[in-house]
Amino acid sequence: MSRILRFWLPLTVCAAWALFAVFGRVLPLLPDEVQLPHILVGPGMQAWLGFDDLGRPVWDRLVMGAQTSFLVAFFVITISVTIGTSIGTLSAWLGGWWDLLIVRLIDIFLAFPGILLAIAMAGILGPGINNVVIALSIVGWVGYARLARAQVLSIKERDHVAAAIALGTRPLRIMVRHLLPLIVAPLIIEATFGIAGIVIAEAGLSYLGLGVQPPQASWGSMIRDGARYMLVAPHMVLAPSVALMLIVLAVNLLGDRLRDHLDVRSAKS
Amino acid sequence: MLQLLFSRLASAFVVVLGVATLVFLLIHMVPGDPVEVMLGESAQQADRDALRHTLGLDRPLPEQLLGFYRNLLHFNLGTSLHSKRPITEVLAERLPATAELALAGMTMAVLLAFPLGVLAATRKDSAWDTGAMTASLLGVSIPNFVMGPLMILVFAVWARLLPVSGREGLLSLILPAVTLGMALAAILSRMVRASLLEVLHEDYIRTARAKGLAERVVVWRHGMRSALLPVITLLGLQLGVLLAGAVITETVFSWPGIGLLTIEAIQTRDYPVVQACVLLISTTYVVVNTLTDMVYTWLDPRIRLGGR
Repeated sequence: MSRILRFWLPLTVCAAWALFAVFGRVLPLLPDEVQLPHILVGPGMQAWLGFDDLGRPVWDRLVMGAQTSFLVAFFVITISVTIGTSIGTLSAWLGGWWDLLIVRLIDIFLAFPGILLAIAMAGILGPGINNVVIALSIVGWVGYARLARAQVLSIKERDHVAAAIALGTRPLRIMVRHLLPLIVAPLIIEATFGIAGIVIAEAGLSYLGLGVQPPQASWGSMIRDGARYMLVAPHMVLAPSVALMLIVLAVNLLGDRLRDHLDVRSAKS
Repeated sequence: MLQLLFSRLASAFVVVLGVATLVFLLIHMVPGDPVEVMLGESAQQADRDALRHTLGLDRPLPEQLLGFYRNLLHFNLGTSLHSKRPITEVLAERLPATAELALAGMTMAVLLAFPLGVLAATRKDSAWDTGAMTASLLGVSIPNFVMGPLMILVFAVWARLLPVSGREGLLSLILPAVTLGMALAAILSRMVRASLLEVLHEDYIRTARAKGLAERVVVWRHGMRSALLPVITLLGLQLGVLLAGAVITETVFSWPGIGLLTIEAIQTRDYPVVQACVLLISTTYVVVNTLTDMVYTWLDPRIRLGGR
């Protein structure tokens, strides 16, 4: 029972999220179609999640919002993990002045509450999905850089690395072939929890009006619009809220699971 | 000890300086022309030049940065483009509201998290434990901007117990404080549980039990004292998250603090105010982190008495 609750259910939720995000475009959905007679109509025969304040079907917009959050999460994670890992690995490998400089830079970035910097960046860059990705990546790389650096520092003195150096292997090859495979597990775990954070951050930015712009849908902007009609049409705020919480909860549960599964070292020692 | 204190202060200063520089650079190096954005595309060239001159944007970047430092030393953050008032004045006006909210949110979180965490730890694997940890997982997964509207719906609109928004009297503080404190309470209760569980296996706890002390005394006086250290660190670290969360919470409840000011400034393209707000919140965060670090050092006899 608990295995179903803790693993299969969250996995299904995440898979559904990804599928709707990727194949949402080919589904016969009409997220932008305004049907004036249906304004604020609740769940019923015509639409199982009802209509919003402009008479657009909430379910169709929810799927569109899934695309937004999935796209943003995918790109931000890819960019931050790549940049962060490269910088962190290089910093630990090179050592000396470079390392000192990068550690200082990391300290300074960590001195900002992450979402605050993202809000300011998104506000200055202006709205739009690209700028959301940029703003969240500017904030996001730091954690992975710190983690990768710490990991590389702990393994770079190992014998197999010394052997690779002795054989005259080029530094880039050492980093990719001999260091990266050993530090990848904690990075994957961190990235999994990172997805939950990014989904919330994207919705937060959109809630503040700094994310994607209408008619593009985001769960955050749907919640903001829905909050105005809370008394007459609670489904408008409930549907995106539940979707958001489900995804975040599912990702967090999967992250827990992954951590238990991948954390082989702590189990052995 | 004194040496440690100075090195901490020095490194905090370097970080604050770095934060200020970064905020300045990020705002000034963003692609696109802030003047263009502020005045719109149809503005006259003369107006643009005038604004650029007022903002000092016509000078080279290093010179602007030096001027920025010089002004910071004098606590001069510039003038708001929107209200034409000195920014320090505007900030001072908004600061009490945010301080009040953050303090209330933190108090809320501590009052909720400690009993919950202790309950979960002392009855590990019981229904209490599962319940408390499920609640905390939910608490982490519900963002402010979902929690806020739901709270308004239930307590202000349906039950009519509390005001919907604004800052008038103590009653209006309750909903924003609960909304802001919820996520912190969730994280904190997990930490209390984990760190208490670790401590409860120690020998001195067994000794305390063996000499017949009441379980309540064992847990709260002997256990919590050691378990508190990591919890305090977390509390300090989480203040930054709390302050950042205040930006959204204040927007949800129209709470007139620094967070709402940041959003208003972004909406009116008042970049100097955005810069000042980010700077203020981040600096507060660095200062609190440094203080936490010091308190931690002072509280932990292993660090205080050990070393040199």
